[in-house]
Amino acid sequence: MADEQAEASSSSAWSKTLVAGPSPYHESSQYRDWRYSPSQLTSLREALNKKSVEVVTRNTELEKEAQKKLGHDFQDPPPLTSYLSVQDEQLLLRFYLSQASTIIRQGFGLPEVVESTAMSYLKRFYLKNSVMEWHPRIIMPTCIYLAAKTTNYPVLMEHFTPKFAKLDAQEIIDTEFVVSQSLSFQFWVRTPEKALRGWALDLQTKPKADVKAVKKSISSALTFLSASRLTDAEFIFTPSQISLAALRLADRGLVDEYLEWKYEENGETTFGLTKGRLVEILVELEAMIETGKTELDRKTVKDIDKRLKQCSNPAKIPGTALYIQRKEEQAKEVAAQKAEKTLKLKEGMSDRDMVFGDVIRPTQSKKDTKTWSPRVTMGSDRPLDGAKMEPSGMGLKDEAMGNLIGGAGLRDIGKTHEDI
Amino acid sequence: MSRMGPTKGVAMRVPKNPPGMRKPTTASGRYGGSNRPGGDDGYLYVAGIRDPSHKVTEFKTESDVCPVCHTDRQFNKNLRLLISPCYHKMCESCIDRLFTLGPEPCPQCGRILRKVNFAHQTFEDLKVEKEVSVRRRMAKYYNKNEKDFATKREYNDYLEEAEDITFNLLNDIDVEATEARITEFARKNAEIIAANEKKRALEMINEGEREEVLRKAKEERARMVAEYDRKEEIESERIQQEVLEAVARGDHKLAQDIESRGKREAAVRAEALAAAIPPSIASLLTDPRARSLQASAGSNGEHTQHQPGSPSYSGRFVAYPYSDPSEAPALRWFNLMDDYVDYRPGVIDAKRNKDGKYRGGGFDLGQFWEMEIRTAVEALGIEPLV
Repeated sequence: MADEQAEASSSSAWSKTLVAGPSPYHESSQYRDWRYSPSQLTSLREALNKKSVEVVTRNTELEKEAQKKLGHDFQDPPPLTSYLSVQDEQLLLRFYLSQASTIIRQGFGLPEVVESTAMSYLKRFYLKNSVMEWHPRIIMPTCIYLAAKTTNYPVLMEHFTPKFAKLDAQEIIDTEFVVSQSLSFQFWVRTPEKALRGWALDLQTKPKADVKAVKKSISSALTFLSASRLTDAEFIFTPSQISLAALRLADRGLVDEYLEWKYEENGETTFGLTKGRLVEILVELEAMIETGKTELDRKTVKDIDKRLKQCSNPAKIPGTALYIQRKEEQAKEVAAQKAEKTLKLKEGMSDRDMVFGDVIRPTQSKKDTKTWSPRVTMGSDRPLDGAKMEPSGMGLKDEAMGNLIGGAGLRDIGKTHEDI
Repeated sequence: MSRMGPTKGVAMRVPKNPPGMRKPTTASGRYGGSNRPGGDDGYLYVAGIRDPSHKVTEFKTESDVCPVCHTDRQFNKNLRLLISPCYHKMCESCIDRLFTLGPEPCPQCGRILRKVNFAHQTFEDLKVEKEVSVRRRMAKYYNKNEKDFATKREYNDYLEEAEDITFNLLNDIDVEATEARITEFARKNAEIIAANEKKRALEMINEGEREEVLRKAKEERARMVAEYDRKEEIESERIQQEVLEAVARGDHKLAQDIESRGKREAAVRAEALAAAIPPSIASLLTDPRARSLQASAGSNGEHTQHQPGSPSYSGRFVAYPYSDPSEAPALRWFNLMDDYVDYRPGVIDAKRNKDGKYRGGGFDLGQFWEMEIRTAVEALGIEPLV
């Protein structure tokens, strides 16, 4: 009893740090760690951009040094203004997001949950890393590959890489862990599709509900949902809110009537919000989703990509002098560690040597093993084609046993027929 | 050695030691021979390892061949190669054949041997075998400790002297001179050697006793834990039975009471068991559960108390708190209908098979719908951050 109480007190202190929320969504990592306000997002991105510019500048300087060392002509680092700005990064990211969406839905034919999860991964990754450090050309397929795995619709690598232009399987495997780390290994993304289905069901509970209208609204709501994925909606709002907003965009009247009925039925604090506040949130979301519908200018994206080539981190690009240098340093470190280890082992071994003279070797070598099964008069387990027939000697020889059949022949004792 | 025949020519002679049995001629042990330097045949030491616990097994390989008669295990299944004092191997039949009638020279080196001097091989490498016996003999005389010396230099000199002698004996260098050195040393340090010998003997006894005591304690505790397990199983089954009956009668409160009471009693019993196992013994028990019992009972007094969230936590399982779905606020905001219109093909199939002919596993349709509606409704009220 005392035992239990003591433990309860110690663990209750810990338990207080982890409180059960009113719903499973409150206990999810998405609610805990991936929730930002719009201002937080912009400041986060700006800080990230600034830091990446610093890193890239520094590395390009180092690259210049490394190239000079190798005796190559060095390229001057680009001026600070030509580095990518936050808007450029976001534009590029959005392009790759839409690409990812097409590839998953049309290229692989995977369900919406995979598409949603992969795009979330991509967005989350680029909240922690910059485009200049990790090119989306590689990160995007990695996110798709990971998302397919984590949502239980895995695609084999050999079927995966052909869908992309000039993609090596090794590149994906190398970056998989980096991406997982940037996601803090929180792989389950709460996506809005399930909530959308839930709303479609609950809309039917209204008396005199128009079921056909509900059905029609689902498909257009899904397109609005895919538009929302190109925006930051998931960092600011919850999947329930996003899905309801998408539905409202699809059929405003339907949703408004439903909400009115709902608040009449259950009172002012249905859903934990007043109706006015809820509609405000929905309107805000709708505006955001609309921004996701705008088409991207391909030319601008191409320009950004070109500029990115100039200002990406040379340490991460295989083939640059700096990359090679870093790799060599790494290899040296590993080799040094290994050498230490073998040295230690050798010293340990030589201690033994001193006491016992020679190193004790096992007396059983391959040659000495014999099988003792009485039925195997040949003695060895190996097939007979291994044995050689000696024409002038009389025996069938086996390397381990000497003569197997017959006695020793002349050749076995080192004589020829002329010696007799 | 008595010879019972009149002349050498008569065939019948009763051997002193029948084959297979070796009577010790002196008090020095099973393997006979004398351990005196320069003893009756000039043997300085006896081959063979003294092993009172009988745990060491004889060394044998499949490719053993007697160097004298070239028998191998195929001819003689019970081939056993014994070692002479000059560290040559011979099979038992050769030994019988050669040495039954008295001392004869060794077929490989010519040294005079007796049947009684042969011992079985323990180590694969005969050099090791020799080394072990040499060092055993050396340890009888050179048994001083570091404490017996005034300076470290003297101790090191003593050690070097000992190793030097050992090396000479092992490699048969200047054997007589080396023997002289040993006798000289033994004579000079007789008292110290004797005192150290006594101390060591005492320690060995203590060691043996302690091991015995520990072993007994382990057995006892293991038995206690096994008994406790058995009782726990019976008890838990009984409680389960009672709970089932209570639930069958519809009395849920009683069922809960029984369960909680059972848990409390189980905790008390676990604590009693943990208290009965003293920490020194509990650490020896290989049963991880016993260790954890001990850890939980002892953890109250420890100053490093690990929290349940950390990897070093070793106490009882503490569950993460989670929201109770039956008490979720979201329940108030929707009413689950019996049937919905849902055009998804999986749902249509499920409905068609509703007449109890489900062929595969899966969610109950009602639960599936409820899950989706809850997902929609539960997180609607979360205010966005500003």
